[in-house]
Amino acid sequence: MTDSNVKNFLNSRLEWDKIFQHSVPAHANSFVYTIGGTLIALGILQGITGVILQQFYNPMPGAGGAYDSVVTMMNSAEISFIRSLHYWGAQIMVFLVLLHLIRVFVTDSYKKPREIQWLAGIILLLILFGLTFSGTVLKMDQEAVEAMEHQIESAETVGSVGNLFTSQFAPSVSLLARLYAAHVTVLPAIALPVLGIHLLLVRLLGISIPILQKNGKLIPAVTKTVPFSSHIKRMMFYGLIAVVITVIISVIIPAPLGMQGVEGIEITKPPWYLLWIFPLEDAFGISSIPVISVIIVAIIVAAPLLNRTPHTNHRTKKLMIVAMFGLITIFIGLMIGGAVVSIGSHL
Amino acid sequence: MKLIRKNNYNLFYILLIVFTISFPLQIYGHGEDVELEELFILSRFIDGNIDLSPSSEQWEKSFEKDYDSKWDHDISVKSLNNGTNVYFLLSWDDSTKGDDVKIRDGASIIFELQSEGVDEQVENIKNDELNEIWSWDASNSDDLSDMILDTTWENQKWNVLFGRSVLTSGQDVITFESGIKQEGFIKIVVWDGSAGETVEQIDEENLSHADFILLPFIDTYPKDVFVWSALLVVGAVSFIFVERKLHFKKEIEK
Repeated sequence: MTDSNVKNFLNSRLEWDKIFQHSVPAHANSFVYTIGGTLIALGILQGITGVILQQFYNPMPGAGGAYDSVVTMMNSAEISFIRSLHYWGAQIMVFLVLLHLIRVFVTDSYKKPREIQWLAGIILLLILFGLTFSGTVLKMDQEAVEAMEHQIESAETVGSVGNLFTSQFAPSVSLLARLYAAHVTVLPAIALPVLGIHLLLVRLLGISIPILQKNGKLIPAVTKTVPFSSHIKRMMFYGLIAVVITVIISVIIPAPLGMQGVEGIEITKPPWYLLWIFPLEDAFGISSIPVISVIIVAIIVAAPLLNRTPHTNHRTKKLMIVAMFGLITIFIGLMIGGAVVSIGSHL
Repeated sequence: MKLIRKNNYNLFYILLIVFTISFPLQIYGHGEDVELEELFILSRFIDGNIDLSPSSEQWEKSFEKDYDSKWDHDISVKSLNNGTNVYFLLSWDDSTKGDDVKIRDGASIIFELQSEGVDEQVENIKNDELNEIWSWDASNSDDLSDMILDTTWENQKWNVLFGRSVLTSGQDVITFESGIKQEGFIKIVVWDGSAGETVEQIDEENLSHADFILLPFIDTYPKDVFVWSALLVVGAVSFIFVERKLHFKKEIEK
């Protein structure tokens, strides 16, 4: 059977052409517009490495449990490398998701009619943070125990709403086991359909194009198009580069593991993407974590409400961009503040 | 209300804003400070030599714990280690140096040999079969032992610095384990000779147990934050240029 026969066979059964044979704006092939696709490649890497790690991980607290199983993994060069891939893959995913969020914001891609797509993206962002947080806790080193204690204390500050995130919700099951279930089952199970909606809307609404208003008419700023298949190839190319970068970093810098977790002390700092919480907690206490998190999410969700013109309104856009850079500056400022502040002051 | 009826999706955002504004009110009053029940003494890891001067920056930045001991002596306890040696700095208020009294001031750190069943260990401070005791007595302050590295009495306060190799030698009973919580490992007592306090009056049973952790290296200054932050800023700025270029292209085409 020749290649074309295979294609015809698949096309006649799967309506292959309906998915791939359509046009997308030419600018969609720049790296800026392929971050989402790159994230999917890394997501697949996370899935594969995660399933492998699952075979060696023991989600039980205490002696001979989670921490010891991670130590055992680290004693094997192969499994240790897989763990490093999983760790660095997650770090790069968080970074790319933040970049993707900024790109969508800068290019007005969140505006009407893409509000649902924007919301689905925010849900995916929250799920990714949930996955990285629960992944941090699973290793049960000192950083993990402190993260779990922060989770419990934060949840307790929101009363019955936070009960789900504490040990009281299911006293017969360890919180670690429930976080493990969330990491490998619950969060991926929510993420997949939401990702499906996100991608379906990309297909139905198309990749966004800057819209200009000239003489009362709305006109697209870009008219050149390329086949969607070339966009897919470009995304696969960038995805492959992201995977190669992950492999290189994993070879050079193995995933860290701290000392076995001890409850009741605070001597570590959170990962870089959560480090902004550290100085805020210093200043306002642990109850500020859920409050500030909800406010940040609400601000991001509300973006389509704040900028509702279908075309590029330069004045509004300038304000939105200034606000965005203000938020980025605060975010980075707090992260750096968290990095340099003495740990002793947080006890 | 007219606004809500006019456009349904406004309703969603209005509810969202109301929820966000009311969220801090919803949780108001729920927050409680969490107090640690256990008494921890943490020995911070220092890479390299440790400055034995109690006023040095290394000691300023070390973890400090207040240990409420016998006769209501409130002892500040600090500890540092560099993987080779471990040091303990005890500081407590004492209005008299006590040079002119017969019974002199002193301090002891008592290390428990057994970590399990500590409640059952009722031993006198002088019994060192189950304990390793590091003691200092002001009457011998001119002739410091191997364990006592420095003593000062300044501003009505004693500072006594103890130290030892982390590794166990022949005469040592206890071992320090890096990165492991050693439960009920330490008891501390000080006495004021001029107040009539003597070592004979000390009943170890009434002293509080403190857990101890000899910390390994912990990165408390994560530098990867700078890399990720720089990449985020570069990304955000380059997106602005890409977006402007897209608009600019149209102008050229026109």
